[in-house]
Amino acid sequence: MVRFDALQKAVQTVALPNLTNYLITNQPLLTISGNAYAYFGNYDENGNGKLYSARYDLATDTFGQSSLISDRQSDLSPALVGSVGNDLLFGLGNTLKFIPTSRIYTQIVTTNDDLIRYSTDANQLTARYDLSAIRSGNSNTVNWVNYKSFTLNGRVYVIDRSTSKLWELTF
Amino acid sequence: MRLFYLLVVYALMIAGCQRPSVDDPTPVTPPQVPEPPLVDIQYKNDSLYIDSQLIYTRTTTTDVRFSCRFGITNPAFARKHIREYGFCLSATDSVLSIKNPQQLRLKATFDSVNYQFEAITQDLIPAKDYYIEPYFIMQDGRVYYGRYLATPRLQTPSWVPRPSMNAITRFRINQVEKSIYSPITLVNRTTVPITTLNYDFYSFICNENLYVLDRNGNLFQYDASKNKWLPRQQLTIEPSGSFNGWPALVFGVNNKGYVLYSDALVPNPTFHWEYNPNVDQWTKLDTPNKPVLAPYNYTYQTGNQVF
Repeated sequence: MVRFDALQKAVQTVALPNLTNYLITNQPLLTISGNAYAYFGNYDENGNGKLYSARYDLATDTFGQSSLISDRQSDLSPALVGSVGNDLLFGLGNTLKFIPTSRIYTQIVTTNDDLIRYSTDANQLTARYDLSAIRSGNSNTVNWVNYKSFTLNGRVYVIDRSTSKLWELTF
Repeated sequence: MRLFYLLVVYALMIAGCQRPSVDDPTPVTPPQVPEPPLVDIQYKNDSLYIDSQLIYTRTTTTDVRFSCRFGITNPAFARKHIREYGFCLSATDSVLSIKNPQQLRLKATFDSVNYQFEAITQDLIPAKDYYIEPYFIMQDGRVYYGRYLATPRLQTPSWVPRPSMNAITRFRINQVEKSIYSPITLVNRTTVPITTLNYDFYSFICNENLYVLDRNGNLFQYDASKNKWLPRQQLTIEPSGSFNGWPALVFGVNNKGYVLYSDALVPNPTFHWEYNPNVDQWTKLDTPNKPVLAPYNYTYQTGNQVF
């Protein structure tokens, strides 16, 4: 883990073991309003999962208590992440569910077209949006991983990497 | 000739005496070329096997796509010998047959790239159980159902006793509740003038403006007020002229853009550049303690610091 200080224009090695371990194992971390939020999902072998977030405190290198974002079965694996104000935005990933009773190796892939908004102030899910209209290519397989979100002057933009298309999302 | 005339008149009289068609309960159908007789294959040891099957569903629509991958080890089952691929589908009957008119026969298209066949339907009812089974129809009319394929049950380890197998797949699609969605407007803005974003996506934000950099150092700024992409000064990437090593680390902090990069041809140095948007200029920095970049990197920014 290294730290780049933009004022001193210097790079320095720092010891933040909890953050380092978290990034190695999970990677997702989002900064809003100067605070870092980690988000992660837990799910069982039947595909039943929950999505959580936790705030990271740089001063103590610790993650706070986990807050439930969503317990909807398909609301896992956030791939498109962004923020607006103090809210986190998650475009959710595809979920796989294995069908053990089939002789043929069969999985159900649920493509999640939803964008969910989680308020870090209220600690709850506040809205769900349908983003299916901006999916490109084979919409059954293209994941939000191919998309990237930006917030400029309070406006949320999404770039589709596969087509280079730019979308503005107005809520 | 007179005899022929009499025959024609007689035939017309017979036709005129038949009951009107409105009373006929059988529907009128256009003439069809009769299909060859279909015979179910009953053997398990043919060498055509299903690799896997996928059922794609969506959270916002009831569209369902079925995809079936398969392999052929016996030339007798080469693609040229197969007349039709498809899926049998039923909501009521777990014993599927393409000959059952009560069941849906979904004809599939063949994807030669991924060696699979696919079919799409939009007419399924959410939260209802359906049964599905893939099939092939050979050129000679034999039907090959998934239940007879010699595929082992992949999810069961070979040392575990295998229970009797249900060859038919039962599934259900999600309930789509449109009412849960809040309104959102999706506006298509000007496309990013870089076509390789799938391979290299480098971006940073300065002064609430988005900058996108391609692998050759071409830099574009998005002007949101005019919905335009503006070309900015190109980054001269040393020593190869393009990113040719581990992915560069690109971020914006304190309203300036930064690029850290190690070239594959130069084992030790990490190159470090700073972009000043106010003068549209790149400057090479001689920063001490440059980090060794890894193939996967991640930045976390807070205040004037980036980790």
